[in-house]
Amino acid sequence: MKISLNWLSKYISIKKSPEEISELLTMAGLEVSSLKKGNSFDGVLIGEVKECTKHPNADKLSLCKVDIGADEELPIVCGAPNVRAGMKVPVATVGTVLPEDFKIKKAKIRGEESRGMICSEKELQISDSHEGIMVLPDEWKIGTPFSDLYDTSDTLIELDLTPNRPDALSHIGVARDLSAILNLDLQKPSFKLDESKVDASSEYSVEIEDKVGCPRFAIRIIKNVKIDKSPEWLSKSLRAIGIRSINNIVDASNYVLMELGHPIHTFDMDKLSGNKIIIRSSIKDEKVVTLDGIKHKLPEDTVLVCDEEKPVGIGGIMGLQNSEVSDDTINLLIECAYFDPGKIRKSSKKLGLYTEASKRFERGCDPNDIEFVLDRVCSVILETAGGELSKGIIDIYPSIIDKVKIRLRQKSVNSVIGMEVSETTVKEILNRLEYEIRSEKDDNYELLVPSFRPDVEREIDVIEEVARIVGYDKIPPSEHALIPLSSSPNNNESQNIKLKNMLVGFGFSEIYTNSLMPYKLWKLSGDSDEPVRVTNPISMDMECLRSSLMPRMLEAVSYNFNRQRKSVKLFEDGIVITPDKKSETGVEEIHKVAAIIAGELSSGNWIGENSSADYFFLKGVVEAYLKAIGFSTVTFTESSNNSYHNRYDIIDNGSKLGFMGEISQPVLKEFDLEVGVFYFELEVSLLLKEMKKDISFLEPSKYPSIMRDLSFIIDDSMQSEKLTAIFEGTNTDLLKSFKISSVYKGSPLKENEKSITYHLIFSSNERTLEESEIDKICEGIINVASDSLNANLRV
Amino acid sequence: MTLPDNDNLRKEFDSDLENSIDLLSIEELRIKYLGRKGIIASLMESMKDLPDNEKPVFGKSVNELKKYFNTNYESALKKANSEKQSDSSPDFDNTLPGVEISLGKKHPLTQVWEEMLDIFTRMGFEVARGPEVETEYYNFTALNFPENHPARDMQDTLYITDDTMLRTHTSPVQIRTMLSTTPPVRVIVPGRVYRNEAISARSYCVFNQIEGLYIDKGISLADLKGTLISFAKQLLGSNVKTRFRASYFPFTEPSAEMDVSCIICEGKGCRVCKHTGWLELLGSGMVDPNVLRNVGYDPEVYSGFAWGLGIERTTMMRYGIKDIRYFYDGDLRFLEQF
Repeated sequence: MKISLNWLSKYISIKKSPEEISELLTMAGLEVSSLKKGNSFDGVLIGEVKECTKHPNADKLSLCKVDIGADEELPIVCGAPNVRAGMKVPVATVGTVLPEDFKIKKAKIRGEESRGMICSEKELQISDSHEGIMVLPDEWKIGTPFSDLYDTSDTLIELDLTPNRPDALSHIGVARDLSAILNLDLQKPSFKLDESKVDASSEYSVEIEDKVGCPRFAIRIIKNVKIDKSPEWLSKSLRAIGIRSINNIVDASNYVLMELGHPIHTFDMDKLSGNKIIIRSSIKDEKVVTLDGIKHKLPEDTVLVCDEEKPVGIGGIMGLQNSEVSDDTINLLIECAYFDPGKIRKSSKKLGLYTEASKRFERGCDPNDIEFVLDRVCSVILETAGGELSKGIIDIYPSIIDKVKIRLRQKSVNSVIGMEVSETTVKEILNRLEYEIRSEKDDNYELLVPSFRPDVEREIDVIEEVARIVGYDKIPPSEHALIPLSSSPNNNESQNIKLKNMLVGFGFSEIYTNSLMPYKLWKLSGDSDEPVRVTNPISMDMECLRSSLMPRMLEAVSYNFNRQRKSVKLFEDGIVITPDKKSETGVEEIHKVAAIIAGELSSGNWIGENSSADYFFLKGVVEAYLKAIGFSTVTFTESSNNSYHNRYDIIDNGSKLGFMGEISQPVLKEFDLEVGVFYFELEVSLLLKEMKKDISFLEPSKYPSIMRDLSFIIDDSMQSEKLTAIFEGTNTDLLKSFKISSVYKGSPLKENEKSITYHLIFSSNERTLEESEIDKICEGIINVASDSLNANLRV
Repeated sequence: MTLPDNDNLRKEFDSDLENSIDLLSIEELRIKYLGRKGIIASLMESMKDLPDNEKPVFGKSVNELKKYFNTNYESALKKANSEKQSDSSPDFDNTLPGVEISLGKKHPLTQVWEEMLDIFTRMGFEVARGPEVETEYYNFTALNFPENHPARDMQDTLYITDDTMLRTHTSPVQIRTMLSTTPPVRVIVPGRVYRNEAISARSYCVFNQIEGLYIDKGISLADLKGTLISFAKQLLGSNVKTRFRASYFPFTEPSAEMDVSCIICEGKGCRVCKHTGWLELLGSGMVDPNVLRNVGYDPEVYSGFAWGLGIERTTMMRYGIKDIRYFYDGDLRFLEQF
């Protein structure tokens, strides 16, 4: 909503700067989003275009000679399509500084000299109109400073209003808030109205069929008006808030709309058939043409204003072309009504038609100010277009919408706000905001809420009114609050942080990726189900919800490779979503942590070779990660998915923690990746559960340990786990740990053989071990290996 | 008379000693000559087979040898120890870089969230989380968004079905939390939220919110202010100025937006704060009695406040980041700066 401070000053006299007024409004909940202060436009003069010819070197430019009352006419190159010889125009002379630091200089434009600029309304910050240069009245004198004739001192405030404040979509509403904040009187517009002797009700009648959609509908009739240009005060007022002047009738209703906030519609009475207005619901597929010339197929249940033959307006949204006021209109039928907010909103949404009227009706207009609004608009029309006003208002209001009654307790005011607000202040504020205090008893008030405030329905809403007018900044912040000792500390959160810290320690950087993706990308996760889809996506690129973190992470890998990265290690922690018919929301949400590795493991070390990520590096990270979390008995089972090569499920005690694998070639090709990419994904809730388990501490031995290396030669096709199982199976508690320290193929082994070396550590907590007893254990192992696997010790 | 071959053993020792330049080889030297199974030990061992009259002379000779070994070994050890720290030869080039150790980075949004978590944990808040796909009831209805009301337009919604949607804010978790606990309630809720908005420098269809809720007996706007001012000062520094202005959210009444003095210009006015000196930090308000009633709390007994902020916005404000897309591109050149 745009507010002109000059206009505002008709209702309240404020001796404060524009900045102070903005600040007050912002603090009270009418947020000022921009403030455009007036400008004196030094250097902008009234000029007359004497000659206007085509620019020799540019189709869209004109060469003008402009008289600004100086000794010689100025040559000016102008790009506006509407420039003609004989026009009076505002001319910014050389040296003028226009808003936004736009300095006018002498210039050569496509080879032609230009000394000054003919301005558009936008360049002078009068409106957003940039369609052409501004054309001034012929009677304005050449050479006069623009600001002498055109009031440019006004300040424009733009409000970013919340949807609960339809009353502030008007100058009077904003003035009312200021009157309460500053405790100043509000001056409502006053006027007198001369009526003719003809009774309006003898000429016309109104019938409401759709009483839900239209609880109140009123009309007035003015005859013999003269359509003309608006007087300067009227067009200036509208211009100040960026509305173009059309004619005196349209301007009058726009003016009252912006003054009082209640939309009005004027019909050309002679274009209406019969002498009755009927308000009904639309039937299916009814077609109409609105004022703007656009055809609409109406949704069912749209409120229609009709004459005896046809629809003439979409109630509360826009009038129709067939009954529009035009230059030869003589008689007017003026409508002011109250429409149901919900219905207006539905229709306007379905039609995709958002107007100044629908904006106000869907938020809720005042159902009880209709007579005043009609009288007011008639007074302006009579003043600017003449004519005779028929006597009386035809006003159909079958069931009166009562003002809301609220009991306000002084005690509640203080306890919600957290400080004492005096009774006097409360009453003052409520009076200024036009609440009616019906009675007072024991610190309780019975209030009637003004009907222009549909958002105020309860005591708490009134308390907010008091609080915001008093000013939140006046409330002393409490210094402390009682803290109940938390029964469950933020355990999961701090464990989750540890999970991330470990990956950071492994050299992985965290990323966040978009959970929405196109189907094509989603498909790369290799999941067989269908994705959860958004029914109204912004674009098809944001249609599917991720069921795996992989596709977007792979995209991030490629993003970095495309920017000359040679080493990428990333992780993400987030929710994946899959369909689940049984759940409340129809989906299952699982919290995952995933990591992806590609390229060199350390980028550019000058010492030694740089190795590249491979499957066993991935497995190493997974094993180290799970071990750090606390898992000790993890196993891996092959699992298949087209998007992966060598994919293994990660299992702990029968429960699947997640999986790891290499991304398959076809998937990598989608991103033109030529390096191997390795990925694992784990379920966070299962990791957190393990982290919460108690650690059982084992005393380290005080005695020296004994180490042995045993190498076995086995068939190349045999998996190492078979051999490993033998070590696991030894029934001694002296073998504390063992690991594979090397795998060897080649001479002197046979072609189909490999050798695996195990590094063993023996120790006891009770004594120093004898070499001989270890030899015996080793012998046992060697025998079992030889008997069961035909594995021979390599000597 | 049998005597140890001291001359040759010395020669052999001397030549070994010459090659013993580091701690490892000096240790090998010790083991060879002075160890449990070393040369001295075996000479002593061989002595027991000698006739008794030869033993003293032989012993004396072995002892001389042992002394010789010992002295030289110890001085070699001492020398090696003093040199072991690093190569100190004149061509040592310390200007070469160290071996590169790569530590990962946490996402800036995570870092800011963890900071906020820390602050609120100290104030006694617990974390609650909830689903990203929500029902109409939790996302709107229970939060006092009237049906067919322009308030629903404040948040463009992405629907999954007619009555399920991607949550537009973390506030549904308020409802879920209150339904499952009795007051006092003190929770913060982090999480992803979704809006039907085109991706641009200023907006993204996915972003992260953190929401807070505090319900107890006798909670007022003064408590709201106290808590949130303390939060702002802990997050942005004790010099930060704050202001509260009236606003509107369907689920709070009264509602307030909290601004902080612009951290770029410190309130003097600049492009970032659009020359107002203020930046909007969060939305807040006293929980609407309708919301309390919807979860079965008596608004005559309990009151409380709630607030919410976008972690992206706060992070952008904090570091002067002008494009929200940086957070979701996974660009390491960006991420590694935090």
